[in-house]
Amino acid sequence: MDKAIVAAIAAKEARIGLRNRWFALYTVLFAILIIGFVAVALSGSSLTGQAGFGRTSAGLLNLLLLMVPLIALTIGAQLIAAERQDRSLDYLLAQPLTPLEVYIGKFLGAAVTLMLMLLIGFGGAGAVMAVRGGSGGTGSFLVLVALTLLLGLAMLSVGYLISSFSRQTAAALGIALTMWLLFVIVGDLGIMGSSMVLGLSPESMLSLTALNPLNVYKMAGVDLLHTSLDVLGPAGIYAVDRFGSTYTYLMLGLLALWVIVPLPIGYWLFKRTDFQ
Amino acid sequence: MTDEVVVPGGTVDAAISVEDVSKYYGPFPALDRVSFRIGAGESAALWGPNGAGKTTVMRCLLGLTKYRGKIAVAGHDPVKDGQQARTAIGYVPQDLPVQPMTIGEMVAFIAKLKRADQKDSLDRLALLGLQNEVNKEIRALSGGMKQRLALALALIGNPSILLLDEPTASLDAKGRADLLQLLHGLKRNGMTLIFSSHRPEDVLALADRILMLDGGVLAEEQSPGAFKSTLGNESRLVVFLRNGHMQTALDTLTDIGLTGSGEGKVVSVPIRVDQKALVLSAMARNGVDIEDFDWEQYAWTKR
Repeated sequence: MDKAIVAAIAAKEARIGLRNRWFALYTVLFAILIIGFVAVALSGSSLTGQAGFGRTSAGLLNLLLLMVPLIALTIGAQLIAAERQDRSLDYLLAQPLTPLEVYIGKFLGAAVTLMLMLLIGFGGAGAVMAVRGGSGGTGSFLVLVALTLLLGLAMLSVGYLISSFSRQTAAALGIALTMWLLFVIVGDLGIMGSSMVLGLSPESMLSLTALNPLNVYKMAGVDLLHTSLDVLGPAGIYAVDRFGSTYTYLMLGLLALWVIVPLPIGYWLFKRTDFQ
Repeated sequence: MTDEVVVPGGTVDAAISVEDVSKYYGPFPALDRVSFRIGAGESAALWGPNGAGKTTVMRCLLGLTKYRGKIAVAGHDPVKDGQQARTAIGYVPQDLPVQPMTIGEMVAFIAKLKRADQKDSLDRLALLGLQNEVNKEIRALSGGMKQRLALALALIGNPSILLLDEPTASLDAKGRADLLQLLHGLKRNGMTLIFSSHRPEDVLALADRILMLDGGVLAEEQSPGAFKSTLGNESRLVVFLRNGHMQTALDTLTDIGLTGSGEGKVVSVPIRVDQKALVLSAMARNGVDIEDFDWEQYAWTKR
């Protein structure tokens, strides 16, 4: 694999991504929501005397849990499907390069675009907090930013996997939105419902929770932000009891797996779809 | 199979060698035991109706699809050694994908992929009359300019083979003539050309040999002379109108007993080869403002 070729494809992908109207729309929407949330949260906390990054970061977690997966999944889902549909993928693959260089280059370029989009929003929110909330809890906020970037990459990777086998952009977006709904709604409700109906043990509940990257993000986030894992119920309490101080690393590792594992599967599907 | 091809006046090395190649999509044969060789510096046309297998041949040569049989492009297997095979090929698609990039950015990007010198690649735009358009967005280009850009991009890295998929399909008469002239120049300079087309005039203008595909089978290989003799007596006149003249043009055709179809600014009329002047003069008489016209002979009536 030629790194220069990968870099060229990634740079082109990032450049096109930044010029895309979706980038502008998502960036503005994300920035407005996150900055608005922080501003409102800080106003409320100043009334109750609970200003600062830490408490606001914990509140932000739930907003990010909905927005970031939606953005990342839909960006990832369009990456290959759109180019397959307008035949620009064929043109790219007709150049003297390998399919792996194309696959990795496109993912890296989209990752840069996504990171930039999220960092613009976080930068604005951080500025608002710095001006209005004092300096306490900066560390918590930075942890939240890093964790959210990891969640974004994981969802981008899942979206990219969807794109790898989708022949139409609309179909890819449909699958991505279904996945988002599954992760956000069915994931939580499914675990709650299963635990009630089947009487699952905390251990089983933790295993089920770990299958949903959004739950992993939430558990890692709650822990890293030093909030009690009691809010996560029996699975959270069991996790701390069972894994102790390695719990955080376990959650981060699981989230990292969600970034890594979809890529080779997606590449296999990509080759199957485009080189039949 | 030898690696030489017999051409008028002797033999040359094979630039492309296709041996017993088959490609099935489920039970349907896209290609069925196709074999041919194209010598270095030769120009070959892939001819046949839609679904004949022309695009599949191109995808096989580029290593974009799996197949049974053997293919060598400049000595390289397109599937096992795809990168090397594609280094030898400059590919011109029917429609260059429209990316939100300028011509300069696109040239620089393709030059990087082909490990070619970027400045040299940009300088070469002058050969195709694009030197003053470097900062122009690709989406703003006319069909003719886009095809010239596609050719410029294909020539980056000095490939020895040019693979063109219906290169004149979306061009008007002038754009077509310009492109054919450019391709003629490349052919004179020894480049190997393999192209698909549904226009007999393009085939007669460029090809040394015509590979007649039908239903995935290589039905015949013909010389341009033999190909010309198979052309039918039916043809199609394509008239490019200025805005607002479509209805008058269609009414005129009805008046002279012909039926045409209109789309956008283009009217297409099936005619006998001796009816060109009749149509054009009737339109002119009725005040239809004609921007350009093109004439295509139908082929091929199989012998």
